[in-house]
Amino acid sequence: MRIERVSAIAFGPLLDQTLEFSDGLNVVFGPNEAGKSTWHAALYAGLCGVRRSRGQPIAEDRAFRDLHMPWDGERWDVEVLVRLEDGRRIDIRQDLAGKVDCRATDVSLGTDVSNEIMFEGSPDGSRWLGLDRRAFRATACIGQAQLLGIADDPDLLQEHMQRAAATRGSDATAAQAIDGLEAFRRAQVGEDRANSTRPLRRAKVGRDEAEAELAEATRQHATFLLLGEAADGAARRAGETAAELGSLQALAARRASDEARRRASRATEIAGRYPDGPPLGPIADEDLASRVASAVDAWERRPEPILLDGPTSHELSLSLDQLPPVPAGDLAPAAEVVGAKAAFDREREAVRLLSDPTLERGASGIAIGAAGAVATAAGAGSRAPGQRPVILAGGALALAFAGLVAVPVSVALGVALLVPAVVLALWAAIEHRRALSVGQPVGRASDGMADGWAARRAERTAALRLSESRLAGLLESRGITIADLDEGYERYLADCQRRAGQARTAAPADDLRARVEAKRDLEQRAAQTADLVARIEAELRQVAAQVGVGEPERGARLEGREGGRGFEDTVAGLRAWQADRTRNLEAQETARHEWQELEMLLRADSLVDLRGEAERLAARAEELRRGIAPGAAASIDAAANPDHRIAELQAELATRRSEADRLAGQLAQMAGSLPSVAEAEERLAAADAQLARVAQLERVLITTIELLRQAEQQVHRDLAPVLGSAIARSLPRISGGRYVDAAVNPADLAVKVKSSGDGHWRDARLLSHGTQEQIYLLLRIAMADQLVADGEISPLICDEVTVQSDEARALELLRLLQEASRERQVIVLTHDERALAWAEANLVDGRDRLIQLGPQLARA
Amino acid sequence: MYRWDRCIPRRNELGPDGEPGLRLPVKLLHFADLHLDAHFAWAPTPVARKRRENLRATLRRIVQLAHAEAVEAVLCGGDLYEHERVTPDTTAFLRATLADLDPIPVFLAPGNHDWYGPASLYARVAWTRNVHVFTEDRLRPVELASGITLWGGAHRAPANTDDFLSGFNLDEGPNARSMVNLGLFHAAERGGLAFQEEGKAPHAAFDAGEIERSELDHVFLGHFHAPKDGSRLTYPGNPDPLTFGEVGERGAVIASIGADGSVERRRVRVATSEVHDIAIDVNNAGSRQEIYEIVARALVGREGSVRLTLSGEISKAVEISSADLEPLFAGLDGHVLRIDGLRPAYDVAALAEEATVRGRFIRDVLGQGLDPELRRRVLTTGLRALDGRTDLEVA
Repeated sequence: MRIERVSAIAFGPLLDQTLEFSDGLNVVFGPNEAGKSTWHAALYAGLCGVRRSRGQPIAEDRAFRDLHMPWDGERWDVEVLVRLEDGRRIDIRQDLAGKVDCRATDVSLGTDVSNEIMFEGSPDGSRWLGLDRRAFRATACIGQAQLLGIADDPDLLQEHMQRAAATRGSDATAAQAIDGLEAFRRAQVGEDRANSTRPLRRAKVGRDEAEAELAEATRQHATFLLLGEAADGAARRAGETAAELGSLQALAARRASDEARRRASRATEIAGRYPDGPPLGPIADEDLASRVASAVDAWERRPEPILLDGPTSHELSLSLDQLPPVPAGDLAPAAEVVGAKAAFDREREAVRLLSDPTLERGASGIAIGAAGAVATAAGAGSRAPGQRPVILAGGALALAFAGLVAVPVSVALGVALLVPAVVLALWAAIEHRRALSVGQPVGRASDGMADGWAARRAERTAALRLSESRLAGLLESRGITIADLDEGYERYLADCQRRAGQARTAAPADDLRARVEAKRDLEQRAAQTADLVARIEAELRQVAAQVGVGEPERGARLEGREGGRGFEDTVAGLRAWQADRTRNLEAQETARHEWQELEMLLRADSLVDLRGEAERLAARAEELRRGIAPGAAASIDAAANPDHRIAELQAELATRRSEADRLAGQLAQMAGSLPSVAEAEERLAAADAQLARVAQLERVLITTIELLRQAEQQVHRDLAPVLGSAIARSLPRISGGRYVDAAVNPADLAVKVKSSGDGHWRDARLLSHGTQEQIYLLLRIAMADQLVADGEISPLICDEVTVQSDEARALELLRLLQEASRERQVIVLTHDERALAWAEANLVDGRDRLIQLGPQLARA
Repeated sequence: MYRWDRCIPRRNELGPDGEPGLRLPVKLLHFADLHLDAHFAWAPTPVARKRRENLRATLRRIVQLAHAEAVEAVLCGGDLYEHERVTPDTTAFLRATLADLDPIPVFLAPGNHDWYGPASLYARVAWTRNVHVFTEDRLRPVELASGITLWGGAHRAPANTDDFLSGFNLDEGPNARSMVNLGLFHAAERGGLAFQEEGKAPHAAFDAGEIERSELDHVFLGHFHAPKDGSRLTYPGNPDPLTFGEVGERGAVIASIGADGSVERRRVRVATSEVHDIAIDVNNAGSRQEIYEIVARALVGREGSVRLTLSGEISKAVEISSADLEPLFAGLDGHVLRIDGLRPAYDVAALAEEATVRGRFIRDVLGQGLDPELRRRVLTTGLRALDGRTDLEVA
């Protein structure tokens, strides 16, 4: 791009003035107040225009307007004519005041090409360079202050490179941008550390707190709902109990009312019976009633009269006295005496027989025969034919034994038995001898029999003495002491016979004596009965007289049942009297009970009070009845005894009401402090949103920083060698050969130059001010080349770049700019006479141009 | 079968059978999805409280409307309140407010947010005689009057309630085959889900065809917050706004029931809350002041809550944040300000061509495959940082 012409139609103090430029180095010279800075601004404004937007302008634009807007008039117009590398010539007119009549016109075609370069509302010619108005001012416009800055702050050189590399010099460097982002992140996000107070940590803590708060609110809410359910259940149960109790109380009240009504009715009834007061007390005739009862009872139980006939007891006693006495002693022989006498006789006969030698021998033969027969039988056990002697011998032994046994009892019987025993023994012996030869066994039987006989005799002799003694004793006990027992016994028998005869004579005495006793007893009882009857009679007469019942006839006597007839009317009268009295007593008792009942019913109240109480209870019962459900009343009617159940229900109701009240109290207390779930959710939502915002901000910042740092490193790596070589190309010439090469650190774009003397690399910031300025210009040119779009070359506009330099440095700068103008248009505005002199001497006609400005009017 | 007209003396004439009857057409008020005690996540606590108060005020308006329209009954299609958030005094409020309807009967069909259970208000409140709560998870009949039966059901859990119409038999009623049979429950008609708010779950979902098969003449529903009228169904929509961006004529429905079961509907706005959703394009705004003035003009005359969305390309030199505009909302109940639609006027395409760190940065950001929102924020943040600006948090 070449700027062919700039026309200040109305710009600052300039009015309808034009400067035309060549394609090479243009030196615009003018003294102070000649308007160089105005022309510099006009060039910029004419090419780039100003931002157009609604509302108030930003400070930068406002400052530009204040500085360059014409003081008088509404117009603020400037126009430039540029030639692009593609050959087009464009006339750009900027209506800086109204921002309406701004346009870019292809002067060849007459077409409006503003749309190619519209930027922030107005045509911006730097857009053809790939820049914008801010970037153009930062790169292609070099002011005096910038070179001064290099001298004062060597680091500015590096910063300029970084700024240009980052944003074409218009804004912050990438490092500053990253630092700003880091600082912003520290302030607005911060670290997620426990002790951090930065937003991220606060947001997380806040979120955790809100979440815990919501959990607690939800928990309490659930508890509240459950508690409400429990409280309702308790209240419902208490209500049910109260309803049941109410029903029962209604029933009880109804019963009490009925009872009160009954009592009042009863009291009225009783009181009506006794209008004069309490009934009289009982009649004092208890003793008479008792006598009457006893008399009647005695009459009813009166004894039958005893009839006396036959001889009297006295007469019988006289007959008894005439009878003999009953003899003492046995009237008949006593059996013991008779028996003792018989025993004595037997023993005496046995001893006599046993003392008879004949009998003793016979008994021995029997024994021998029997023994032989027995022996034969034993020895001829296998010889059957010899059995008859055995039978015979057995029979003889049996009879002999019986005879011996019988002798002590009956001598005759013993003898009678012994005789046939001897016969049979002899027969047996004969048979035995005939059948067998007899040996030792027979002999031994004979010896044995003799020994037994003697022993028997001794035995019987002892028995005789004993019986004798006994008989003597018995007789002696009966008064008979005669030694001869047979005689004594006979005397005894005679005495018995005698006493028996006497006894027969005295026999009626006992019967007569009994008859006497019986008669006496009967006579006594008859007397007693008669006395009793008399007393009954007398009592009947007395009580009849007392109670006023007709007495029996005076002659009437109670003599047995038949004789009581005269008293029957009296007794009937007495019984009637008793019945009347009983009825009277019962009536009195009834009256007394009724009066007591009345007193009980009334207690201390009057009948009116009792009726009033009945009415009150009836009203109460009705009130309670109305208070219960109809169905409940019907179901309760069946309750027989509600009192016990009422007591139970009252206790149960108290418990249930207590429980219901307790739960209701808890519920009310909880309701008063129950946190709002909705509000807790809202706080959590807000905390979530805050955390999400901070977290997103952190992510955005981290990503931005990472990508920005990455872009910075990449650009620096790309830019560093380009810038280094661009500086190196001109460095030997502008440094007079002292530095022959230049390098740029891609990390921080720091410039180093290589000394031609010792070959060392030196930091450009440590070089002389003049060298730094030259390097700065080289960097500007190189940066412009780098940043401008392909196919275009940006012009370079310099304002007073030599004024602070010594002559050598100023001339060197001018030479450098002239060198640069071989590839681009360079416009230098200066009031430096040295620059004017240099221009007059060195500018090349046709390619370069010297423009000398006349003095401008000072501001009014 | 419950008969409200037997327990509540009404002004109607006797029916043909000598029973109290209604003069057709019968006028009913239907509403649903009030969501008392709902939370408003977008709002700070004072604003949310105000919104919840507005929900209550809306119910009072519904009661007033019922009296003014002299309706024969009020139907609520569920989600009257939110069980998980219900506050203690909501109990007393609901009882007193519905008692104010007396002698107009009100029929409540619990939904998934106010599902019926032992701890729910429905079970705990000693309702006045004019309030009837459906408590079974199947449709049960209530005789509105001779010849008109209302079949209602309840959600008994916050989820997994079955289709009320599945297996429904009209003959289950003691007086089967009423002249008119109406339905009242909280359920999602599958065909309408697509038109509802995002995330609307299909509770007790049913197909519209099931209504016809059920032989119900009309079904009054709740659940969908966007109003919907079908030939045999009515969703009244939430009567008071619950969020921004709600469209459609929501409110209470005054329904006239004809003898043939036909329904004529009229919607009445009962909302207490004013909610505005404003979108402003501030394209080319050159300064913060300019944007400020545009927003101020847009808020003139507004009341209630506002969601303001700013969009457009503004000068990159304009530094504006939500805090800058906060004072403009001072007179409103609440607001949500969204400025993430504002785009700084960076010529990103041109800047990307630069052989600078900025150009390289732009190219890298665009080539990173970041999600669009993050890319936008990173790009703007980086460019602002390179501009030397300090407003580095991009909305």
